[in-house]
Amino acid sequence: MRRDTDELLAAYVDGVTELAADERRRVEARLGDAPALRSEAEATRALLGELRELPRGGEPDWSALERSIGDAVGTDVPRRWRGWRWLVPGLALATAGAVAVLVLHDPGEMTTPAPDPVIAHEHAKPAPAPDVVPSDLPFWLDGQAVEVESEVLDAIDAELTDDTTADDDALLSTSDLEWIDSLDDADLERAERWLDERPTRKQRKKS
Amino acid sequence: MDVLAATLPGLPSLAIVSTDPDLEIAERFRAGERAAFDQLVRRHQKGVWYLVRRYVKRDADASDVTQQAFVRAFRGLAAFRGAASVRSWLYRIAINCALTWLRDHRREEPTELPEDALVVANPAPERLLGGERGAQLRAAIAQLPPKQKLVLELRVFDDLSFREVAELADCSENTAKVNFHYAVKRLRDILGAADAP
Repeated sequence: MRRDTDELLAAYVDGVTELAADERRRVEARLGDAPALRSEAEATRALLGELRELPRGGEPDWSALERSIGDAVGTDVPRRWRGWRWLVPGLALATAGAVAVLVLHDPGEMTTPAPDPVIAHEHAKPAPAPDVVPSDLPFWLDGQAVEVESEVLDAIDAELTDDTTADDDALLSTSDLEWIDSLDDADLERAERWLDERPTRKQRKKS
Repeated sequence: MDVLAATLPGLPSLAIVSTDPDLEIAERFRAGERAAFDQLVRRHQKGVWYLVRRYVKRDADASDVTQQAFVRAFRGLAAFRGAASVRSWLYRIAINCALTWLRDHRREEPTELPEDALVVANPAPERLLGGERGAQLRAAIAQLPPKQKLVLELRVFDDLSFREVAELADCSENTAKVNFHYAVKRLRDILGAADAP
């Protein structure tokens, strides 16, 4: 605190009115207690007086300088820019206009046209295999190859994949064999002949 | 309006009313009175010129820089908000103009561009008090640290208040007072050492 007070000594000497009331009281209390500080204050006052006595040197023609300044600045008083006063109302108006345009505008007209197709410069992928089932596809039943028409295969696929749209009538039931009773003699004879002529397992492996 | 209750030693308490008459002039100028600026020029052209003169070597250059400073002030006075005093605002413009001038004329006068913006290139007046004593004072001022030198010169040679000194030195008012104290103390030390046998 004492040091802080002493640091205000020159300011006190040179401009006591520029110190706050408490600062002034503290400095005056220190001056009353410390004779060395009083002599320092006197030396400071004398030095500042000497400095202020230093001549300032040459000086210009003040009237001429004043005229030159007057000529340089001209006669028109520059006006302070007050455009900011219109900034907020202007922005509000512009925003309201933009919103109105968005609301009233037909959105169908705002759809942008589709961009031109992009040409991909890359090698074409091989085409997938055609999803066509040949009509004479061999079908294996209980280890035996049988000829089944493609419609029947579709029905089997549909049942395996639980496809309810498949035609159930085209599928011969494997659990209920009553359908065999509906075969006539010619069909049975043809079936027996087919079974006699069927290739054995060894022949199939060889082929 | 600042009202400072001041008690001078040996005098009864009194109230000192401090006002800035420049604010009223600036207000008239803002209202469109062109002649108010001429009044401002007459009030401050000497102070501005002497301030600038400490930065530049020649009187003619000081006059040019002073004119530039007032032209800038003329353009900016309408937007002056009064945060600082008109005088310190004007002096700040003048210092900036002087530094710009020094930068632009660096090649012509390379020694005049200060390393620190606060350093005054030509701080002391040409003719000094009492010849030898004046030379001692000048040499002592030149040895001060830049901040202390600036504060001392603004206070002693330009007669600025500590508040205005603080505004120009970019520090608090209390820091300006403390710098002023140490500047004087250091000057006394330098001069005392010079006087010692």
